[in-house]
Amino acid sequence: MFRRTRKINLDGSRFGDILIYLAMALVFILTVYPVYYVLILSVSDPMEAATLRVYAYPKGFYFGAYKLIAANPALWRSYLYTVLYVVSQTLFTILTSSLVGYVLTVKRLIGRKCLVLFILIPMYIGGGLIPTFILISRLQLLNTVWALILPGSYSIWYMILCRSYFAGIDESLRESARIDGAGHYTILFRIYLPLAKPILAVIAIYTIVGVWNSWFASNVYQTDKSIQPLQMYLRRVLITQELDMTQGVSMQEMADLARQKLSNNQIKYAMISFTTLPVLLIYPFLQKHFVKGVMLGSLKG
Amino acid sequence: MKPSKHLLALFLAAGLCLTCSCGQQQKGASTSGASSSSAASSETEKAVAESGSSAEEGQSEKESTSKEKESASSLTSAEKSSGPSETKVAAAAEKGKARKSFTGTPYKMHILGPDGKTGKFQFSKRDHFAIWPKFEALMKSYGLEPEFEVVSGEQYQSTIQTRMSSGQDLPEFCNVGALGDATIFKMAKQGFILPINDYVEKLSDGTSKAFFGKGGAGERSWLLNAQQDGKVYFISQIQNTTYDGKPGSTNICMTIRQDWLDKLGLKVPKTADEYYAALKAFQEKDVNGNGEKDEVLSLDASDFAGSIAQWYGLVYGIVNFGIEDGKPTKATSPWHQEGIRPYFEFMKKLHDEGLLDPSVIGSEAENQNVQNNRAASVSNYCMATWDDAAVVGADHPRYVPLPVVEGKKGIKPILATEPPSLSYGRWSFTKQASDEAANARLIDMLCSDEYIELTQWGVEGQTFEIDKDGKKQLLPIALHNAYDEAYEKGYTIGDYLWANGGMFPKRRFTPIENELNQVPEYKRTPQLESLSYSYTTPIGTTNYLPVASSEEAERLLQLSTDLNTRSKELAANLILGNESLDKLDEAVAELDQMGLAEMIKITQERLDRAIELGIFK
Repeated sequence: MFRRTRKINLDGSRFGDILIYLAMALVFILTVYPVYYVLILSVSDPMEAATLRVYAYPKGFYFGAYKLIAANPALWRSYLYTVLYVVSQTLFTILTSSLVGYVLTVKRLIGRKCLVLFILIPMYIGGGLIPTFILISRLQLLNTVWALILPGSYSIWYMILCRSYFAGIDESLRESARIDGAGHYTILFRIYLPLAKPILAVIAIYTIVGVWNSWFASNVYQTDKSIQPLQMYLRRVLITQELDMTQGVSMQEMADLARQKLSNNQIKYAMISFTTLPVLLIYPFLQKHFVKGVMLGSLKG
Repeated sequence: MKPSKHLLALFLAAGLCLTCSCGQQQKGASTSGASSSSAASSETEKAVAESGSSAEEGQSEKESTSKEKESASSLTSAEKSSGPSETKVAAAAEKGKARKSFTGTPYKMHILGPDGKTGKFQFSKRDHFAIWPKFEALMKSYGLEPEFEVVSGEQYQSTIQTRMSSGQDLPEFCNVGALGDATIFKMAKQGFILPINDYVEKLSDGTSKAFFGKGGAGERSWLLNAQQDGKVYFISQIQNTTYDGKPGSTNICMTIRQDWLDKLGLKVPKTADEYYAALKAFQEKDVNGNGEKDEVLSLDASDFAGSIAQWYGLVYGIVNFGIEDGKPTKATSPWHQEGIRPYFEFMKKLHDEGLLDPSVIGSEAENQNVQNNRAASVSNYCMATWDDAAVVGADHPRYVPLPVVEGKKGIKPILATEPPSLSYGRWSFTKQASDEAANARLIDMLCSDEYIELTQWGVEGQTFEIDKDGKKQLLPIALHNAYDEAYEKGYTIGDYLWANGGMFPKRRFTPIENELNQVPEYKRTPQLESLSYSYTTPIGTTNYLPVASSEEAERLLQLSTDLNTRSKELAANLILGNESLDKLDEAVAELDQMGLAEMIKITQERLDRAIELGIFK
């Protein structure tokens, strides 16, 4: 005797919707709560913050940590340099990506395939840390802002992304513009780029977020604290120097370490909030283009 | 208390209690070779005064360099790792004392190092401090005008590694400790790092030769840093402490909440069973009064560095040795010792009954329980007071040390002790340092009485004074609890500003009595008890073992990562019950196969060399 099995169909059912909403709510909590947790710790009473017994809402209000970091000129200088690195690298990246992307879509270009191959090789096989360091050093860029700006001004992946996007634009547009007397620059800047806003938004936001959060390049190429970006400053606050007690350091150094750990606690929460919020605020403004761009870019890339 | 005052109060509390690293009354350096007396102070002033006119005298650097070489060559021929001989050292010391200020053009040496880690006393802010011009003058009197490149502490390791690996932008002198010995010796083999023997033995004005020679304060450090062929590639920080005129130091031990014991009318535990009973009582009686059974032992027991392991006679760390009445035992690993099984049985019992917080095993979160007023017991230095200051929400919390506790009858407990003679950290010259005479002058300066005085004591009238007996005493402003005031006034001792693992090596020669006088009675008595206990295991074998050879260092590097990870994992699993104690022998055999046995063998060979060199005399 056969038992009839009932198939659960969630498509369009209320039950399915609830499940999806619940799953999304869970993802939302898992994503947002750590940020919220850091935020409430940063404004809680220092005593409560030190014990980490703050879960749902701030316990007591204390903005001293923010006052302390806001009054620090070194932090504002780092902020300024981060803005410089973000703006310059984003503009340069968009410029280089669109220029190269456009050139690679011109069918009449001699040796186009070889050029694409030539560009692709370093994307897969990088030079590595030490050769890059030697290059930057020989170019006399160590400890200058250019050590971050120049290597961060292009991305082969974004060039390919732009090329793929531009390839999707009807060739007849280019042809008709040429008939009307437009040169390559006019075609690129007045026809292609306005049509490519979604992909440019994607490149912009990826670059902004990437540069905003990056610290490694500065860690390697810049020892001068006065030109380091914000993330290096944050890293300095967060990473208390750790001592390996099995290596035989003195009690004196342990005392200094203990003192440092104590005094850093709440300031680090305030620092995290202070440095993360600006980049979070940018997302909503670019979201419209971003979603479209990601979809187009991924399908065509 | 207003919220705004809370943070301040926390800082102040920490500061008030952190007095243990420097005694308030450091009564003169009693250790040999460090006789930084008042004469040295006047010598400094003289040197400083003379240095002022050095530029005008206009003698060329070349002339002075050749003169130095001439005089130095008469001092000694090449000597091996035994260090400069006694008679030559005496002659060298005389020459060093008769030193005249350098009269040529000061050499601009590129020096790279990490910024300090002592509160606000950052090397990058050196111009803020009154001691800095004096130090600059001292360097000038040695013909040095360094160009410093200061890198923040957390960035330093990657900076030095990248520069050494690429051979680009090398400084002339730098702190290379972050590279590790295997890399240092590899770099030395490739000629990136230079040996310093000639600077000390041939080109010294006598100061460094006397300092590192027989009977000098740095003799032991020199012996430890010398490779088997006698080559020395770095100098180190040196700290010698004494108790009652003999080498003596503090130790690590378990501490337990005295105020909680008092509350329940319990005595300080003397055995593991009493300790267990106390922990049990704390939880059952909810001694912290928060309504939860959360009073726990907060100890990362995965690395044998917490002191309970030592109650069972286990040596400190994964491979180490014991020292009984001044003589070393054989090198071993806790995994090979008799006490390993009862140790894990005890720790498992604590875990199974909820008395050990499992979340701190393998993590660095031990301190969180202290702050939360939940840590019934923690491991720390015997005289440390910073844990007491960190507790939030308790009146007068006190962690009393448990110096010698018997884990199991028949097994002698061992004490994890900070070696009284510390020699650690590495400072080297790179291939960029082509002016050998200047290199020698820098080492002389770093071994001079003037440098020792500025580093350990600072400036007379600002950070120390000389008492009626002619002994130096640090003023209160030079101590931890006055950091902020000292910064405001621009006063500091050199140790905070340029040493302590920073730009230059530390020199500290002090009797432990200074610290003993500063700590509360409940810390002092157990510390005195520890000092009289003669079976110890060193915290850090590097202070007893001569540097490993290139091959040994390379092999240790290859073995240690996987071995340490597996050892920690195994220890954690045995405590948590994820692996059975019944299979301990198989697990230890696996560790031996992974290289534990080889590591012990290498350590034993180095230990034999140490005995041969007279390190344990």
